[in-house]
Amino acid sequence: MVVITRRRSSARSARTVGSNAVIVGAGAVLVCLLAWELLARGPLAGGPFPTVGAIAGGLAGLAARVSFWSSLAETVLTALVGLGLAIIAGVVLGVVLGSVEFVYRSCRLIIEALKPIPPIVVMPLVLLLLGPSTEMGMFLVFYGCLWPVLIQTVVGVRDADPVLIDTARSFGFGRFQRAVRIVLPGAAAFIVTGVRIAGAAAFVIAVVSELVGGAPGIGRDLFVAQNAGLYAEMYALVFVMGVVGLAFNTGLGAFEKWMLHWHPSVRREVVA
Amino acid sequence: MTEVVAEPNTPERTEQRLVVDELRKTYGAGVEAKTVLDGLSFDVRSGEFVCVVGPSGAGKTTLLKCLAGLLPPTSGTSYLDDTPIDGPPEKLALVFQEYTRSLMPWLTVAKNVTLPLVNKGVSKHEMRKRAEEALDAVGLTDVPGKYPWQLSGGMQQRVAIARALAYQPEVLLMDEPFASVDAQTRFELEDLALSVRERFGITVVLVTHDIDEAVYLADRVVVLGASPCQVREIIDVDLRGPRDQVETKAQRRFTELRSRVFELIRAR
Ligand SMILES: Nc1ncnc2c1ncn2[C@@H]1O[C@H](COP(=O)(O)OP(=O)(O)OP(=O)(O)O)[C@@H](O)[C@H]1O
Ligand SMILES: [Mg+2]
Repeated sequence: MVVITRRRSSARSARTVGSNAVIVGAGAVLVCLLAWELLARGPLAGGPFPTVGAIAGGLAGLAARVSFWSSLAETVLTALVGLGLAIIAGVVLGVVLGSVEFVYRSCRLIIEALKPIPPIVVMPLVLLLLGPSTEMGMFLVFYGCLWPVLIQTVVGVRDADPVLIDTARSFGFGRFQRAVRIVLPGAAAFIVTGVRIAGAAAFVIAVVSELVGGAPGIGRDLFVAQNAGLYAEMYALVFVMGVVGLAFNTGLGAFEKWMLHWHPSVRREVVA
Repeated sequence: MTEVVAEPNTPERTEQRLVVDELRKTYGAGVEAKTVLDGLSFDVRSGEFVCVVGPSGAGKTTLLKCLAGLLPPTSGTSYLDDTPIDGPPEKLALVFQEYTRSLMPWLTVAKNVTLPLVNKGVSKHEMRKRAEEALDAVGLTDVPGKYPWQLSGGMQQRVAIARALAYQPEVLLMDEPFASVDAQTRFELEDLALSVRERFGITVVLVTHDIDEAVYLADRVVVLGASPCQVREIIDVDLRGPRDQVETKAQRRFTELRSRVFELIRAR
């Protein structure tokens, strides 16, 4: 009784908190904008801090330019392709590594050694090989996203329920069929977590590869705007990055819900 | 499917389906070695319902896993229709002791039931038909679109049984299938097991540690001793008439058989 009541009321309060959160969040944004505006007009006037109005103008200017949209598309494509390839490679390698003990033992050390190397450290080498190109950006995103997906997949595969495996074996399922029909869905919760971590990093790495490595995209535009002293445009680009990053995470969250609708962490018990 | 033979000792009945010959299983090696099955021998005739009883930890699950071809025995062999079992045989289905864990939580009930058919070259239409039939046989017709975790324990067990039935096995192995449901559901599921045997004419080997259940269900009861286990005795269950939860259990013979099995299990 108590539990039910509490659950009901917490569900209701969660909803009110939800709408409250939007109001509170919007309020905080307004306060920040106001503070920025005051600083930009007052003590920091004349420095590299354009007013909110100027930034909005920069944003409008960007939106009117075709080159901005192609840059944005370039960056998003770099992030998505790199992430997509990392997911495919990470899951396939992860299943092999996780299900064949010998391969797992042989590769563990290599993975442990490579995992902590951030993508920016391998950038000089990749720059030498691929130049400041979209491919370079894609490779860096791939490299950065591979490890979380791979490691989570390995953990998920090794966590597979032996009862499910035996069940599948008793149906006469071979190794491949077990991997695809039992092990992979069973590891989905782990894999999706890996994809979320990777997805959050993908866009950031894409921007960094452009900003530092000079690959085409809004990261490079940002670098150019900064050097040219076009501060309104620079902050407009930063704002765009924030929005795109948020969209990335929201999309991944929805993906997670969709993939794991059956999983205890996501599912809602339906009354029969 | 062959016709169901209800009367014991008719000629068709004596045909041997499953033969267990000096089965021995030792887990681990060296000082860790633990012998669980210590040379088991018995056989199961075609269409027969055999219950294996033994104390907890005796090695009943180990025995069924060996029969299902999931676990290689250390020595000895079991045969299904004269073919040595060295991998999961196609004609055989196993209902696991941990049935809730053996259902895929990401598949609906209907998809769970048809999962074993995916590489048997069965058409989509045929799959749907078999799922309907199997779910109907276990008395679950209104849940095919639900997920296993939306069902009660007893219903999940029915799904596991339905899945085994959809596979259309000739031999059905069940590992303590009714151990974790309430008494009422348990009686229903026991009668379900009997009706399934009648309806599909399959051979059933059911493991249990419940003596009443074993005597009620079985044509013969294989009594196992404590681990490392051997066959203590094989008892013919000669009860009158079709099994009925009230009538059968009221027979004097039922009580006698029960006491006999109990004594065998208790004996050291
Ligand atoms: N994989 C394993 N490795 C080592 N020992 C095992 C393994 N599986 C089972 N055993 C041991 O074998 C013995 C028999 O186990 P088993 O599960 O076959 O018993 P059971 O008769 O099915 O018991 P219960 O009635 O409790 O289900 C137990 O002592 C158990 O600890
Ligand atoms: Mg057991």
